[in-house]
Amino acid sequence: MNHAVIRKLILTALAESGGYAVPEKALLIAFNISFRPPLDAPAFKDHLSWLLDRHLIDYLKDDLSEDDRKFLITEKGQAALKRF
Amino acid sequence: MPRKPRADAKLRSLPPERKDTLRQWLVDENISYEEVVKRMGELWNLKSSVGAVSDFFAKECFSLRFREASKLAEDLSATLKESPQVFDEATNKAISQKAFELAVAKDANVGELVQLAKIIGDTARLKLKAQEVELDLRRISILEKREAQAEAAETVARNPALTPQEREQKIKEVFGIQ
Repeated sequence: MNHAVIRKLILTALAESGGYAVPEKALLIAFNISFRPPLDAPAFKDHLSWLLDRHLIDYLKDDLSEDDRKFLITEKGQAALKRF
Repeated sequence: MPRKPRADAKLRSLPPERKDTLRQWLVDENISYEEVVKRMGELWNLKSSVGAVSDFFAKECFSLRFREASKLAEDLSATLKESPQVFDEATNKAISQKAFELAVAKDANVGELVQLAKIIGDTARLKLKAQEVELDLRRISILEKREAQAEAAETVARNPALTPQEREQKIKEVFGIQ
């Protein structure tokens, strides 16, 4: 699966989440349940970084736990998803 | 050079009602990809392949997982909003977010459920504490008012310039009796 498709799928998942922040781990697990070949965590982080660098997604940290980052799609990400 | 269309492109461009039917076959009825290809050919005169259906299913399942988790969290949020006296907006948001995460996670565990219960429990306890404090304040306010009335009544009772009728009238006024 090429990089553009993976990034589009990440944006799609965040767009479908209706404003709720998606934990990084849950996002990766959901991705690997649906698609082959599975992605490892570092490769997945690279895609997230690519999207973050372009302000297509954003993240927040959980105040209640030491869990991983939780991602949200930005307005720019929503617009980019429509253009894909 | 134009890009080759993806295998599932034809399925993704189906009208919404046909996409819904396709989702229903794949997700609700859990029928095989081969059977889906056969049904589409028979019912819609649409040629497809197992690979295309597989791609469509993967993307649909992936999206569906997040869409359904979001719906669950929204439903919970709406329920909580029906009792605004119990949960403030921030707590409602925190609970809905946690519910979303539990719904979206493959391996939701007891620890996470406990965390959700703790948020709810903490809020309920805070609410009860606030009610207790409010009751205490009201008790103090009533006691202070009674004390002031007693002092005023005593002053009236000890006033030698008043006739018994005037005294009775003033004391009634102090206690708000008509």
